[in-house]
Amino acid sequence: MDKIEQFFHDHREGFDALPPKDSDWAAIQHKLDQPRGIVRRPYFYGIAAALLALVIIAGIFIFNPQTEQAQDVVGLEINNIFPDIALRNPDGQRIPISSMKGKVVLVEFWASYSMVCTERNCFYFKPLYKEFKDKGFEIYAISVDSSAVNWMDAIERDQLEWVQVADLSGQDSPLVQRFAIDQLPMTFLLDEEGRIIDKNVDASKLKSKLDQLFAYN
Amino acid sequence: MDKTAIDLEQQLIARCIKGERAAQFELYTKYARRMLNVAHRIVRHEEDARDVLQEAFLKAFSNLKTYRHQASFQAWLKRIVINTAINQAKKKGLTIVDKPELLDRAHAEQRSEQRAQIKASVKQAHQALMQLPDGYRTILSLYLLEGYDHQEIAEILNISVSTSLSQYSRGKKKWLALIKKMNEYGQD
Repeated sequence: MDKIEQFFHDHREGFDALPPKDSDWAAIQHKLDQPRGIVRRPYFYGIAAALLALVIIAGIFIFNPQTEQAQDVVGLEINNIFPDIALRNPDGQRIPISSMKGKVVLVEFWASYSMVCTERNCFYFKPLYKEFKDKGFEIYAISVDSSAVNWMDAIERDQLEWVQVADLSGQDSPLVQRFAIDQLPMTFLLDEEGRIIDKNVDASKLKSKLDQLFAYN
Repeated sequence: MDKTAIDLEQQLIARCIKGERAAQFELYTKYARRMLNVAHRIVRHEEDARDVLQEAFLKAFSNLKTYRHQASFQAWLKRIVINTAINQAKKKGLTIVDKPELLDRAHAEQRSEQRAQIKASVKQAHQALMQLPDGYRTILSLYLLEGYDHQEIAEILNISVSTSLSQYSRGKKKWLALIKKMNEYGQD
């Protein structure tokens, strides 16, 4: 420990010089009292919506005899139609992947705590999204976060403008099993029909891939 | 914290999840001062820090169920405060990572920090810290006061580890220079 570190360490409490005021708690209490307060609403609905989506997905898995046998990666090969999942965005709206038919869609599994994902989002996907979104490119980003706060903070912090959805069940999510997620980020590139045309595309090669796909548009 | 204190805090958190206002107030009272100052050192302005404090506690209360006891409650809450403060700082246009041009002047100031005696009151030290540019102030605070290492700071601020390291060392020099200046001008 150098002198400065020692000094800060020894006087730790002295740096918390600003005292809270009664009005701080009053403001918090006031907002807690509003049953549908401005601050609470998105989180409350977000979590409720995620739970609902989870129940629906679980229901599909349990009651659909066709998927019962095929819970592993079958169906996620190149040329397969990507399963039509519909998770909730931070506002609580359910966004089905099928609603993006007619666009080239990059499905991205990611998490706010993964530095690799953050780097991909900021340095690769952002410029690509800017360049290709008007040509018919969309990103459907599925977060495997368990915390709504961390998830929404990352979206806000990195200003991610594409479709963001999650079920907020973290590692327990049925998505993790369904899509055999063993790495983050994990990506699927879908054509206009929702067919898988590439998997885990190298981020640096994605641009040339998109250039190719949109060459005639 | 010893085991009983942790148990007591878990009981308190459970009561908060049920929405008991008295429990929420108790939890708030326990951490408000620390968290207000964590926010203050990032956003610098007092009113912004109070906004961050309020927003962060509301977020914490409505997401208490997602707190899974892997980290201490204080560490969990602190991350919410820091994230909220960074977002607030960005909205207000603070540059959490300073531009390179701003760095060089401080770089030249002092090389003998290891030997330097710190002749400062805590009040001066705090004032000097608050006068530092946004990036230095944030990184110094997170490292020296909140106990994060450079790996963690890099992750929190979304910068590289080497940026965190170099800003930290330049920030320390700048801080020492400010202390020295205060002494020369006899400021309190």
